Amino acid sequence: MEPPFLACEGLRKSFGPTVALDDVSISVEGGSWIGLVGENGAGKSTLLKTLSGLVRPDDGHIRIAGASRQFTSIRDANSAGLFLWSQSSEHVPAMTLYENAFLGFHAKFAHGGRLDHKAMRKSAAPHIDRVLGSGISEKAKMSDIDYGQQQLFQLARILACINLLNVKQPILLIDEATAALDERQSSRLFSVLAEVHAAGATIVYVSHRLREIIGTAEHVVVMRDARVVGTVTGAEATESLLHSMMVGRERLSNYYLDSDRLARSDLGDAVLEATGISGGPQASSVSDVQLTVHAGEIVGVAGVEGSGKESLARLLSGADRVTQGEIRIPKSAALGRRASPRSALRMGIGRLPVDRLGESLISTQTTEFNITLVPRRQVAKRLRNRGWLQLRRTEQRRIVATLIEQMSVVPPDPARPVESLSGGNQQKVALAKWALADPDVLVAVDPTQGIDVGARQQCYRFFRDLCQRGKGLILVSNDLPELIGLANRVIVMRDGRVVGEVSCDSPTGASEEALVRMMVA
Amino acid sequence: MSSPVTKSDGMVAAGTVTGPQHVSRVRQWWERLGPFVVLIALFIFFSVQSPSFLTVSNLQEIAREAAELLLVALAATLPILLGSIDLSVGSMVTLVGMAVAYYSLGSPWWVLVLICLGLGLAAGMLNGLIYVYGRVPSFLVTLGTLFLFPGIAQQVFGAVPITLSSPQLINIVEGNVAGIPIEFLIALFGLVVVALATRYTVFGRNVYAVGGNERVARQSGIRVDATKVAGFAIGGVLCGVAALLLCVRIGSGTGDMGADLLLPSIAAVVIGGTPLTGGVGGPVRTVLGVALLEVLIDGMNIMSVSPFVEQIVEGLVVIIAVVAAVRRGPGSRDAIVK
Repeated sequence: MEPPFLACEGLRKSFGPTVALDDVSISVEGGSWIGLVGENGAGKSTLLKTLSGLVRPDDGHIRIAGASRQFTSIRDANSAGLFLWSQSSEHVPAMTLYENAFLGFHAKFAHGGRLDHKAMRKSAAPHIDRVLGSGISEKAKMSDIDYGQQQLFQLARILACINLLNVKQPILLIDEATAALDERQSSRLFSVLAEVHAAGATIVYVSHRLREIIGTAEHVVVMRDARVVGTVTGAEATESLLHSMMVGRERLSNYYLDSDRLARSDLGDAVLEATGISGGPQASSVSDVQLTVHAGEIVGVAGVEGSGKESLARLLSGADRVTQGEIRIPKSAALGRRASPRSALRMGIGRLPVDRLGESLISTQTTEFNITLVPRRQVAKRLRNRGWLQLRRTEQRRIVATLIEQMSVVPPDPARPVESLSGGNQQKVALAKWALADPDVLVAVDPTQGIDVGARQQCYRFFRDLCQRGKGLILVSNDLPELIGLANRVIVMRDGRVVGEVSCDSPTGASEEALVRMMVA
Repeated sequence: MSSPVTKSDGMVAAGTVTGPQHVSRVRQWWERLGPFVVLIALFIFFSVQSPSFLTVSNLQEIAREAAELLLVALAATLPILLGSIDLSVGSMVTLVGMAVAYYSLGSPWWVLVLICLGLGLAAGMLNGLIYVYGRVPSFLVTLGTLFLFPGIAQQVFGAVPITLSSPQLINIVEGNVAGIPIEFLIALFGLVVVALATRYTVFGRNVYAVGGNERVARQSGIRVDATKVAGFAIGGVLCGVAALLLCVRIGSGTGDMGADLLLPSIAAVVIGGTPLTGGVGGPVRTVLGVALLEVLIDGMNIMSVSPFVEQIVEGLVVIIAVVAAVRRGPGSRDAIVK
């Protein structure tokens, strides 16, 4: 039998006390499409990084086309035909797209020290066109295209480099590609990937979204706790089978805790009213949005990238200023024109941003520090016996320990810096922070992006609990099943305006198709 | 590869933690105590090398000189913890020092104390206010005031050294309590106040939050601007106190009296283990940095090492400290497990 095209044997890697890869062996045939799934922290990303030379394994080896390889840099890997789509792509914002496309390979366009920009542009343009569409010029600056497009650009770069380096049998390692993409961009990604695959490329595709794996992957490799726990063929793979392998048990039928959703008649009075609000970074980011949230209600907000749903979240939480209209909390006052996150918080509006280490948590600080970052006044009083003095450490420790247990943060160590936690556990810390802050209205933006099933469950339980206690939740999300599963109703935004609303109270009320139609129409 | 595994072992979240926990404990202790161990080693080294190092008079001398540097280094610590920097600490010393000397003739000692506290506060607050409301990097603001303060001082108080003529003040500051110089006790008091403030007050927490990640701090409802202004203002007050002590020790106020304090103070902060990126470290670490620098300088003086060698050694210590701090720090990228 022909040896596998890409294989690794006995890969091990630890980061301090944390084992990220524990005796991992996989083998991939040339030209196949492999799905790789597992909870957060299962080791998927580390595996891809190890294969592409970004992480050096402690033990084990990697073979490509029979030859043992250990890449020392991503450039090295690229030259050998192996390309990584990374979750945290890094581009040079001030450079043009075509310059970014060949970053690391500019020397190939040098003639006696002079860079042949024309050749570079010509060489990159068809690939940028193919992936991003002809609307975007290869001469545009990286910083001028939006975040989703920057992510999608990674594929254009990969294609351009495959072409430049004349790779016959490329290997594409794709890590959580659709996390930051909207529906349109995702389908673009898949159609291009399918073409590349048809032309002979080997693809290893990592995703939390099982439906992206099922139906496309020829084999699915499942990882759990730093090990490969099994492989199933594409035909065998079902969502519930993969779930049970990933978490070691069947997926709950009551995944979104639907039974806890409050019926319309059980909702309380309005807890937040936005009347015709406009604002945001551009004039039309959000225009004339009406929104009322009732006690116990979850209002979903759907929309493609750039539809204004993130801007709306920022406006509602005081991060950006409202230029027109008014945001009111019936039991206190209106959020003024000079709003700040602080004044919003004082009124009882909190925001759980999507960017965990950028906006939500202080990465170098401990779990305890982060949880107690926004204590609500009543809690603050318990923590501080004299106004600005904060001396009640034992009390603080007790509260934090309870929250860590409630949210099942792993490891349950309050003194650990949050940057050393996995994404899912970071999000649990962020949830604990808001549990302590206890806002009347929480605006959550993509709260489950890139986190595992366990952390998702924690997240959903927290949201349901908020509602049971008469709070309101605004859930801005790209994950449509989640929106439909959690929300009482979903409003759809397009070009800064609310273009529709779908009720999710009855099981047949809302469908993803209906939402998508409104989102892109 | 095996067939699907159906073994059920409940939910396990991110990365399994194994291995001995005490290894990281040892590391943590070394992170904290590294400079301390080096300090003790230096102490022993100089004591063995020179009989005049470990004497009461020499230790008093070290304590006196360390007092000013400690106060100025503490003043530099707060902005650095905030993720900013204050380059004008030495210039504030010059400004306040000249003012104290200028007004010393005929003023009671407590008026001079009020002058130094008030003027220090005003100068520090000016830095903070321009920084926050001008939306300019603190590096540039304080680069400006680095020139501005001594300029103002010499324009207003004259370009020649002014003798400090307040015997009252000199008597108080130059005294000893149980053999410990009052100057040193004053600096120690400043240290205790700053250390308690950063560790136990809401303000201190906010300083770490702002330095750790300003966006998160703002998003969490922390008064970022007020915290920054307060940090710079407290720095100004500490510089004011340092100016008073320095003025008494050299007996006059001059137009360059504080100039030599800026770089050693920043060096002391860094040697102690507070990185310039902010959010970690703290005043207690700065003490170690100051002690290390002062013992090193004094020891080399006693051994009559050439001033150039002294400079070379100081430079090397800063570089070694930074390299070690980067290795020690928790921020190494490998720590992130995905």
